[in-house]
Formats: sequence, C-alpha cells, structure tokens
Amino acid sequence: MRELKSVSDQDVFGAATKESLYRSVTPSLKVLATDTITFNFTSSGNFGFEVPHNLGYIPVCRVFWQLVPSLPDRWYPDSNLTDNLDTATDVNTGDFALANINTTHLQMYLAGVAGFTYKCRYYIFEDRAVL
Amino acid sequence: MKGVQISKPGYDVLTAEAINQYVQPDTPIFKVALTDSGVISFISSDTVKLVVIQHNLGYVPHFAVFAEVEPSSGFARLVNASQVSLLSDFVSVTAAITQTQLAIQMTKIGSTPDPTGDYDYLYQIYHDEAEQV
Repeated sequence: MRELKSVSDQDVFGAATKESLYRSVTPSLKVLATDTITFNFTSSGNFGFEVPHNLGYIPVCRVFWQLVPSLPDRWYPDSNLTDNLDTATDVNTGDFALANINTTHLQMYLAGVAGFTYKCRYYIFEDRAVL
Repeated sequence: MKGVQISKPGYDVLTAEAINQYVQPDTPIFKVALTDSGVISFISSDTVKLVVIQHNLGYVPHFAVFAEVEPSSGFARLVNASQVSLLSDFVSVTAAITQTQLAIQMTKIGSTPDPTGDYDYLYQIYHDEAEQV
C-alpha cells in the first residue's frame, strides 16, 4: 500500500495529497491519446494540423514542442513564442507554435523554416477541463 | 513488483503499457485540486481583464488554463506558456500562478477586430507541486 498511495518515505495515511501518487477520492488525469509528430519543413511557413478526439467535451490536454532543432532535449509547453531562442535554427522571429482544443479536435499550428525538422508531442486526457 | 496496478478495461494488468494503466506504483498522477470555468465579458472600451482564483495551497502547483481568443468560438487555447497572439485573434491571454493565486489576464490586441463579446475560460489546479522549494 505504501508504494501505491504515497511517494518514498511518506506515510500513506499521513501523507499530504501532493505527496501521494494516487488518492481514490481525488480526481486524477488519465491519458486517452498521445503521440509524437515530426515535421519536415520543405518550405518556410505556417503549418496546421488536427487530432480528432470526439469526446464531446473539452478535455484536459498538453502539448510540447521541440522548436529548436539543434537542441532536441528542449521541449516547450503549449502555446509559445519562440523569438531569440536560437537565431541560427529557431523558427523565425515573431513566429509561434500554438494549440487550441474544442469538443472534437485538438488543433496545432507551427511556424517553421525550410530545411529544418520540428517535433510535437501531445497528450489528450480523458478528463474534462472542467467538471 | 511491489504495490498495486490498475489497468484500463480490456488490458492485462500484468503486461499493459503505462498508458493503459490507471495506476502504477512508480508513476505520479496529477490530482485535481480545483477546477472551474467562467466567462470574461469584454466591451469595446475594455483593454485588460483580470480574473484571480484563490487556491491557498501554500506552494506553486501545476495548473492548466484554457481560454477562447475569439468570443464564443468554442475553441479554447492552451495558455500555459508564453502567450501567442495571431493577427486573427481578438484578444491575447496569459496565465500565471503563485503559492496562493492563479491569475488569468485577457488583453485586447489592437483596434481590430473589436473584442466585444464573451470569452469562456477553463482551468485546473493540481495538488502536485510544480517546484520544490
């Protein structure tokens, strides 16, 4: 039980909620879909794409972007300006990566530069963004 | 293997990958502390609107904020990072959190388009700590 409900060295009965791995009485996020998408930009510009979820409600989601091809370990969350991060390989100054979600689709848009490859990793959770 | 695993329906609890498990003993799960939605109403003379939510957790928690950038569009933008405003957007939205409050700020982008209208926002604040002090 200790390993189920609390982190190491925390009493499962006395641990605060933030120290618990799981609590049966607290709503927690469950991943419905996740994927990593690679974009090879053959020409500079904006590119949009959609992932259907068809849940019928707005779910919690997160999106992480690999926006600087020379720094593959650097992932930026959700909607981001990318100015001046890496002028050699970053997307153009003033450009962006962003994500929108509605009751049926996750939409993502990315501005990229010809000759570079970018990645996006998204998570759609089963849980409503509001109960 | 110690602890308990709970798999999703249709998956063998002993062999299912993490994504198909509801509970794994070595994987923290974000737990929802507060969640709610609301509407920010803009009139043409408004330039900035601010919504402050008290959470009083006493530490900086993880959170997620979604908000419309076009009134009554049905699309909620994820606003948990440096906010992006496109020329086609009606407003920009930013969000920031402290040890006691979540603030959601909506700002008029320019003279056009007219931002007048109602903008839905949603948020979740999690029990899980964003930074260990």
